[in-house]
Amino acid sequence: MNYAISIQRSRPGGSTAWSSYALEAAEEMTVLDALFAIRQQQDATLAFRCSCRVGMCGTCAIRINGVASLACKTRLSALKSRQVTLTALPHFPVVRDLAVALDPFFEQWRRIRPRFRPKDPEARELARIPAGSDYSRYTPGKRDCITCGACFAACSIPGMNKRYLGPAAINKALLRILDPRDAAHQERLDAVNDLHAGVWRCHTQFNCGAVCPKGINLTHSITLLKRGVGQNHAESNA
Amino acid sequence: MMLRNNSVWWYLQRITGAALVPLLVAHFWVEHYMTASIRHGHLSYQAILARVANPLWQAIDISFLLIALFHGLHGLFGIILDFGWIERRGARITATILIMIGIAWAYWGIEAFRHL
Amino acid sequence: MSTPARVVVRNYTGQLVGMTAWLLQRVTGLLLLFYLFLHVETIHQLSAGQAAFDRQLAFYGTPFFKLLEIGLLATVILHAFNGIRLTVLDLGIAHGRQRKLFWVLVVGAGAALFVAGAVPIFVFSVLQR
Repeated sequence: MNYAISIQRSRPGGSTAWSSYALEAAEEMTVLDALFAIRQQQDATLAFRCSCRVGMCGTCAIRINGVASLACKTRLSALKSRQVTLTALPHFPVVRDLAVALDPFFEQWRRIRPRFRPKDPEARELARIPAGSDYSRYTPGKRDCITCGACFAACSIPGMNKRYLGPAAINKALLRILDPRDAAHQERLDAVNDLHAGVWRCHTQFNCGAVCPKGINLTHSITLLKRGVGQNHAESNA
Repeated sequence: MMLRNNSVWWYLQRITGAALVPLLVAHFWVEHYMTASIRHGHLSYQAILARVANPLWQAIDISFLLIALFHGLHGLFGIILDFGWIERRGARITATILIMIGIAWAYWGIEAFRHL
Repeated sequence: MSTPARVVVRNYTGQLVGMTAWLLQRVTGLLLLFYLFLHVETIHQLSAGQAAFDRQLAFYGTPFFKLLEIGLLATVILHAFNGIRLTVLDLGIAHGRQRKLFWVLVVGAGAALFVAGAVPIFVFSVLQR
């Protein structure tokens, strides 16, 4: 299968250009495989990030034909056209070519204090999370975030508003807020309740969940917080 | 006067939105189907005056206006916040300005009935 | 130059429904706010007396204005129906079917209501001139 792959290049100085490559691709090749093939056979100057190559680490998130996706999980054969356009994730400063700096994402990530803060660090017994509790009810399917940044890139709001936490950070905050073992619920609630940065800047565009490689319904997480799920957890900390 | 949880405003936007739907349908029905036949194409001064002089309709129209003003201006506030143009203090100032615009607009609307 | 538009459309088609709905909600909302201003202004004209008001009404009866009214109808329907869609989604309902909800409720039911409302306006006002 012949593919025509266009990649947006850029240098640290800021200039951008497009490079085009023709690639004869095997059926099961992923976009990441194609990038390696191009780098090894055609253009050794091409820059891109990857690590695990199996969809676990989130490093290779780029924009494939306009859609934020993991390069290692996207098969060329699954794309709707033989013309493939690769660009760096939007809303992030480009380091070079397809490699971006994830600072905007992790700045927001840190603002919700993602580190688990145990209620009782000296506890000797296993914590029990009752079935029917908010945590067991709402968090399945939401715990697999690999911080790839695709949601942050896909949502319109981070492009307009540098303060917005973004879907991943809000989802993480939800996990901490609902966790009965965690002691810092109010901090996270305050962070997501912020008028400029928090859940109120989400407008249910659904772009985030559509691109999440782990299939997390991020809009649902944000909606839960808007509707007050987890509000009563702060009292249990007091 | 910011409430501790901003969800009140979020709920109000939806509640006012939901309220506007029947209000709009009723308003449209009364204006175009009760007061004038669509075949005739347009209303007349007399017809409108007759309805608007009735204090019940005035009350309904004014409620409609106030609810629409909240919904619209709060929506505008949301758009401004989305762009991230304003800082924290700026949000309070903007909200105050929008409230003042709303009050002025409401007064202007209510005043339209007073001269009749 | 970012990703060529035709490539984005081809591959992103269907994915951008939620975002388009958001944009539409904003644009129609602002238009309606502007309309509200014009409408209150019109009602103020009642106090200008019958002759002046009837002149205004005659202007509102012109085909150009009727076309604007049809535009207003489309704007209201889009904003209201998408607003209902958003409220449903905000209750946590139908998240997996948000795009379908848009096509069925906003576009489908909206178009039906639009035709029901616009055709009489068009036939009895614009065509009769």
